[in-house]
Formats: sequence, C-alpha cells, structure tokens
Amino acid sequence: MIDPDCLVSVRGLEKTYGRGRFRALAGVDLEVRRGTVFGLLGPNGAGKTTLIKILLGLAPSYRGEAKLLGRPPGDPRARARIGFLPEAQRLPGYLTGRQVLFLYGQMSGRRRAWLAERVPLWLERVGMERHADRKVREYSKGMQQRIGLAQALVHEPELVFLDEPTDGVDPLGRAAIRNIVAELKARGVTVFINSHLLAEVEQVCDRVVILNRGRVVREGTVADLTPRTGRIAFEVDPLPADLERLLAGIGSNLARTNAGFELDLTREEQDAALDRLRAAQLHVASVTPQKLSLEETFIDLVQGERP
Amino acid sequence: MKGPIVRALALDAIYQVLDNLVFRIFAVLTLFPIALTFLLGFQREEVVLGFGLARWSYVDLYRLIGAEPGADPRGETLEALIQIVFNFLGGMIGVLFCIAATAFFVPRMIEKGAADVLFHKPVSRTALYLSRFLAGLVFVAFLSTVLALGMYVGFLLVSRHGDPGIFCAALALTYAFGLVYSVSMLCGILTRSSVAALLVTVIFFVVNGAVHLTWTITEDARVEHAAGVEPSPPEVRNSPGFFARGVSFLHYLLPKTSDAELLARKLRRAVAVSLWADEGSTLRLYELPDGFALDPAPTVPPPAPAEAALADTLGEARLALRQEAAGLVATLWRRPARAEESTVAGKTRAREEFTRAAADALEAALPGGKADEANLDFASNARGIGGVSAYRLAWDDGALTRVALVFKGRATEEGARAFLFTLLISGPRGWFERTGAETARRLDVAFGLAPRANDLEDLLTFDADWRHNIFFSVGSSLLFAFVMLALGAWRLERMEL
Repeated sequence: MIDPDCLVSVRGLEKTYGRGRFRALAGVDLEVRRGTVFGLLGPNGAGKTTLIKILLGLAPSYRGEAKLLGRPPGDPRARARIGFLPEAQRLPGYLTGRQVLFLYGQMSGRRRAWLAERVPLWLERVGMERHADRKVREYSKGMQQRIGLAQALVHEPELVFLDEPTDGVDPLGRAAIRNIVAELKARGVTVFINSHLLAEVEQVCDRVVILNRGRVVREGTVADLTPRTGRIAFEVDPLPADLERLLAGIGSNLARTNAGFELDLTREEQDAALDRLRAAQLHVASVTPQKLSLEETFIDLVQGERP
Repeated sequence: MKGPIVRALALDAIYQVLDNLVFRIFAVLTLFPIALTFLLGFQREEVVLGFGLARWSYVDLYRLIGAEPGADPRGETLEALIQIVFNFLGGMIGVLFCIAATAFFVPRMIEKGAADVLFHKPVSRTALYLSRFLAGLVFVAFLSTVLALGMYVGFLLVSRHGDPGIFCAALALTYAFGLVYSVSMLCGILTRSSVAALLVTVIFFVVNGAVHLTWTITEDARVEHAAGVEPSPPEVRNSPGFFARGVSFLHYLLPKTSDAELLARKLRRAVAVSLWADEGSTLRLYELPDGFALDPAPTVPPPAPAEAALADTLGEARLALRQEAAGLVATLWRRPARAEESTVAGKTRAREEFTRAAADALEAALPGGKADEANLDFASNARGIGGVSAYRLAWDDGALTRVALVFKGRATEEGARAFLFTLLISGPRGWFERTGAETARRLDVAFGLAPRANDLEDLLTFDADWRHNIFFSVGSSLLFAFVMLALGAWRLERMEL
C-alpha cells in the first residue's frame, strides 16, 4: 500500500564501494513526509550524498529498499516531479543562465511556453535577472549556485533535494535561499536539505536525521534534537553590582553576560528569582530558557560514536 | 520520451556545437573553398578570376604543377577541387579535427557535478548518451552541408556547373565521421577522459584506414585477375596467408570508412542524369563530347564495320555517336562474356572470358592480315579507359583508321554474365595519330567511366557478392557503430555517477 504523503521511503539501505571494502550506508531507515523541510546531517563520509544519489537513481547498485514518490529510484515518472541542486554542480558553460533554466525545465517535461512565463520570475527570485544572458562559465561560484537553485525549482517540483545549497553563497544570498525554502514550505513543497551548516538547518528544517558512518544515529524534530538545558538567561536593566547577594539561595552556576546573567533554575526557583529582581526595582527585559544548539547535539552524537 | 525533452536534447546538442571553438574555426575555414567557387569561374578553356580580373588557361595551370590537362580539363579541375575539399581536407584532416573537437562531449557529460545535474532528470541515460552522438553528427553534418551548399551555389552561379552530387560527398563525410565517432563515444565512457578518448580514436582511425587500404590493394589485385583482365599471377592464385586472412577479417569486422568515398562517388553518379542507358547493363552515357551527336539504337541503326566477320566478336550494336566535322563515327557493341575454363595447378575451373582474351579474339578476327598490323595495347591512362581495364586495337582499313576499345561492363540482371563492350571509332586515315588519344579520353568521360578510385568501386553494388555488397558495407559498418554505441550506453546505464 503506497502512502501518498510519504515522498521518500528508505528501508535497510546498504551501499558499499571498492568491492565491498568501504561501507557508505549500513542499513539506513528513514521517511520524509509531504510538506516537511527535512534536514540530513552528518560529518564528511557519513553517507549523506550517497543516500541522495541512490534516491535520485544516480547510484544504481545498492541493497535494501528505496522509494521516491512511491516509485523505485530512477523511475522517470518520479524524477519528473523532483528538483535537485547538487553539491559542486557543474552547469553547462556553453549556455546562458536563461538557457539553463529552459533546458532543464524542458528536460523535466515542461513546455517552452509554460517555462517562458516562469523563467523570468525565477531569475528575479534568485537575483540573477541582470546576468541571465551571460554564459554560465562567466559566473562566479555564488552566481552558479543561484542559477543551480533556480534550475532545481523552475519546473515546480513536489520534492526538492538541496545538497549544500548555501555553499559559496554570500550572507545575502544565504538569507535569500532561506526565504525561498520558507516559501516552498508555505506552498506545501517538500524540501530535503543536506548541509554542513547546522545553524541554517536549525532555522529552516522541521525534521532532522543525523547520519554517521552510514547509520542513522538520531532522528526527530528540531525541538527534539535541541532540548532545554535547565539554564535560564535574564536580561536585566540595570544590572546590579550585588547580583550574587540579591539571588543568594536561588539556583546555581550564576554567570554574568553582556546584557544580564544566566543560571540553572527549577520552575519554582525561576518565579522566586523574578520576584526578587522586581522587588529590587530592576527592569526584567527578557527571560529565555536556554536550549542545546543543533551543533552541540550533533557534536555530542558524532563524537560519542567515535571508536 | 516527451516532446519537450526531445526538443531540449536537440537544442542542447546545437548549443554545444555552436559554442565549440573548433566548430567556429571550421565554420570560417569552410568559407575559403566556398569563396573560391565564387571568385573563380571555371570556363571551358580557362579559369577566370573575379569576372575577368585575370585569366589562366588550363594548360598553364596544369603546367604549374608539372602536369598536362586531360580531355576535359574543366571537368577534371572541378572534380579535383571537390575531391581535395571533401576527401582530403574533409575526409582526412577534417575528420581528425572533428574527432578532437568532439572527444570531450561524453567525458564532460559524466564529470562529477555535471552528471548529477543532468542524470537526475526524467531522461534515460541512453537518450542523453545518444544526444551527445547527435551533437557530434550535427557538428559535422552542418559544416559539410554548408560547405557543399556554398560550393554548389558558387559553381552554379559563376561556373555554370550544377553538380547536385556534391551533397553526396557531404553525406559521406558525415557517415564516415559517425562511424569513427561511435568509437570516440565508447572510449569517452570507458575512460572518462577526453584525452584518452581522443588518442584512442585517432589511433583507431589510422589503423582502420590502414586495414582497409591493405585489403583494397590485395582485393583489387584479386578482383582484377578474377575479372579476367589477364591471367592470374601465381602469387594471387595461391591461397591467402595468415596476414591476408587477418586483414580480411579485420576489414569485414571494422567500419568501412574508406567505402564512404566510393559510395559518395556512386551516389553522385546515380543522381547525375544520363543521356542514354544501355538496357541490361550498367553502362550510361552522361554527356556528349564536343561535336558528337547521339544516334540511340535501335531507332537509327549504327554503321556496321565493313568486315562482317567481326560481327561475332563485336556482338550487337547498341549506340552510335557521330562527329560530322572530323568525320568520326563511334559505335558501341556488346556481347555477353563467354564461359571459359582455366586449369591452374591441375584443377579446372569455370570462369568468365578475360577482357584480354576478347581483345585477342577481336585482333584475330581482323580480316586481310590486319591482325599483324594492329597494335594491341592497354588503352589510354595506362590502365584502360579511365581506370576501367580496357584494351585498345588500332588499325588502318582502306581510307579509314579504326580504333577499338574493349572493356567489360556489368549486367543489371542479378547473376547474369558480364558484357564485353567494344567502342569502335572510325575516321579518316591518320585521325588517331592526330587526335585519337584525346578523342578516346573524351569518350571515356562521356560514358562516365573515368575516373575510378579503383576497380572495387565498380564492384560495390547492391547485388554484388557479400564482400562487395553495398548493403554489407553499410550494414556491417552501421552494425559496428551500433555495437559501439550499445556498449557505451550499457556501461553508462550501470555507471555510478
């Protein structure tokens, strides 16, 4: 029974290179459901790109089961409904940016007239409208990445694979790409992101899988992977000189910060701390529970896995 | 495959070719021979530069390169120009450069990064692979078609010479390139390297050419003897050795690129309009030599030779040509080659009558002791009429001097015995010493017998035995290219990208 909302399904996926000497994937199971922004994380050599290549039919030999939009990888009917921005992509240098979008859009089965309406919009969306008629070989890496992103999206796919999408892109470009991902999510497009930039993944992804040495070591929502630490940050104005005396007996590990202080507190202690600060006529600008960052979770998991 | 995908692949092939630097250089280079056809007017007696800026006679031009013009210097010069442009510059140097210019098409397609973008699309790898083959063909087809079209228009407008057969040369060039390019494609897939693909393909091109040249030389000799030009020398009669068998095996196995030139010539001849066609044989009359008028048989019976005894050796009259001014009458006679037996090394075999034997028979039939006077020799051009093996007899007959050219021609009916033709030219006594050689050459041209690359060109037909059959030549070559492409596609389908 095919679940129409399960766009990517992988069961017991194994892949070896070098006649079995190197195991890239060692029994991976995962699912990507419609409308989610899915992040695939892992250190170098974890098997992330191999997994994407299997899903896209670029690596035809593997063991286990992989389904893309309910069909085997490589099925043209499934591939017509996906977009892909590869890592270290090489677009044809003999084409202009505009020709690239038309070419790949047509190769995805879209008619030229249909594309004629959308290509200018996508060129504008990735900020390449002024350079659209220059040859790709004249582009900087960032410009190639922008055109690459547009080629992955111009035919309006249901599922988009972005392999290191912000690689080589300046901060403005990264923000633009984040906005595009947010727009795709709002339109119900499923996005599968493979990235080293954990902060960005944390910002845009709903669900994350961490892959290490060919195996899934953690899977869950971003909230699952970034639990609260029990430490609370206070922003206080003005910051009293006798802070330690003021909060004596409440919480532990008090530390001053630029805008205030932070310390480990229980829920009851948090209320007590607030009462004392107000009683001292101090203005409490913010109270922020501290969470583990995705990067910290990632490092903990990966380092914990090291032999 | 959907329409947009097909159009995208075709468009991509064209973009890739148009952006290619070598293609652009070639496109400019093709303008030179085209410009030549517009700048030079090839008139009947002279070559005119720029509508009269300068004039050179063919005699002067030929002497510049230490040669003498033939009977039809204009036709020979135009033909030489076409052969140089299409067979030498295009077929040899051009193909090598085109191999170099297209060798990177496949390796670049499967480079990391490029392959990822391309192969995740809903297009089969085989289709993408074939689109690169198409790009290579477009590359050569476009250049050769522009070249042919430009030269055709130039010749037509300036020299008043319309030769649609020139497009056959362009077609043959693309055909030959396609055969070699299939090897380049496979090498590109197997090695993933443009340099390796280029080197292997160039080596293949040279070795393939050498194999066919060697085969052509040995086969040409074998065929010449088998066709009965003269008795076989012992070395030909002996069974072929290991080397010859190896060369033959490779020839049959490899794509017959050298046949492309022969096929182009045959195609050019096929599209040329003939004035007269001999019923039952492949002999055609393409143009009338200066001053000659046509009397097609049997509506106007040709004048029979005075000696009735010659009738048996000449056969039936087929055609008569008259040149009133010089008082020349040329009559063409035909009879089937006789069946003979030959005994070699104690074995008796049936064979067709040799041309030499027919010429001997004609000489013997000359009445009144003329046989002793007749000078039997190879005909003009040392090897006969324009390369077709022929023997010439010349004798005086009263007030006339007669010249007989004896040659063989193929029957159109499959399996039928070949014909022996005799072109009997009669004129006032002494005409042959004055203008005979040139007249004979003009008649060679008229019958489309000249020039031939080799005797195998005549044998390469649709109904010949398999070794010389066009279907086999083209079919086995295309099969080779198909196998190369299929292997490449098979490898690509299983390739980890």
